[in-house]
Amino acid sequence: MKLRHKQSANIAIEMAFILPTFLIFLLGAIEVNRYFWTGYWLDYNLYQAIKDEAWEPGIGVEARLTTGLNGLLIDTKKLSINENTHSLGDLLLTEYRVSYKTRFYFLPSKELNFHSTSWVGDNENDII
Amino acid sequence: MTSYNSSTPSKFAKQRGVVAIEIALIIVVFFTIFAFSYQLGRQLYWQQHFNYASERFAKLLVLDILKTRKLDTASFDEALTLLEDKTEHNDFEIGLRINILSDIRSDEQSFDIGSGCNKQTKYPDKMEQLPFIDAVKRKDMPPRYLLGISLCAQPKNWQNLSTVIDSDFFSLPLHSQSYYPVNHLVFN
Repeated sequence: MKLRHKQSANIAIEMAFILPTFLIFLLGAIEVNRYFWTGYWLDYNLYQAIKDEAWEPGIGVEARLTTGLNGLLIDTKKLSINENTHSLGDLLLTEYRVSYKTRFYFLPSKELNFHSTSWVGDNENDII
Repeated sequence: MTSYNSSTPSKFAKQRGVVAIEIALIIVVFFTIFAFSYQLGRQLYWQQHFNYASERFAKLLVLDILKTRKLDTASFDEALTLLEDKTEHNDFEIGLRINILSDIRSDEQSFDIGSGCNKQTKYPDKMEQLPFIDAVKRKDMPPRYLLGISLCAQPKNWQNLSTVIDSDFFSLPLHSQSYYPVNHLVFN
């Protein structure tokens, strides 16, 4: 009877160690996935928005990006978009830099800033 | 009663030892899975990031070539500077490998700019490696020109998993290749 009690205590100790470890790894994995998820969709949608805008100018990169990011666990109200111009040879490029700040609960600073940059050329359709 | 008392502590100590080993193993397995997933995640993420950038710049550089009607290496330098400034990650050494592919062999060129391209790739750098139109059909057609831009990104402090897992996917530097047709009149 005494041995059985000790065994149960052992199992309880084992569980007490393993359960928090398991939960930390599980939640950590979810957070790491969220990190790559956010970066991936931000990059993908900016790239698509730029391509679509180059193909059919008018709607604007910001509107296209916001539409693309809907329903992807990204708060589009927190997006900020900066526009700059650069030259590439004789070509004038408009650079779009998107920033998105979001909270991560497993990091000491808790907030991370994501950035994505892409470029659209003047009269890109001339290439076709 | 005597035998029970004498055997219990050693049995119990053994059990504790087993528990400790079990916990250590589980932690090692968790950590390995976590580290592998992290490496896979960032490899996929950066690979995609550079794919988009190389595709964008291949198109923009072709547009510049068409506009100026000349192949200006200064444009490639500017493209590299823009890419280096906007990668959002200071741990990458970026390089570009430019391949001009043509039906006229003397017009074919390949050159590297920036650091980072230190791996031989399987991407075609000669037109003859792209056999999509045979020579007979091409007789009366103008020569084809293609701009191939290969973006190489060499990350620092990354474990090169291709030494552990025999896969090209995990080899470094990361490579992204894009091709764009260039109007033959540019070269005439």
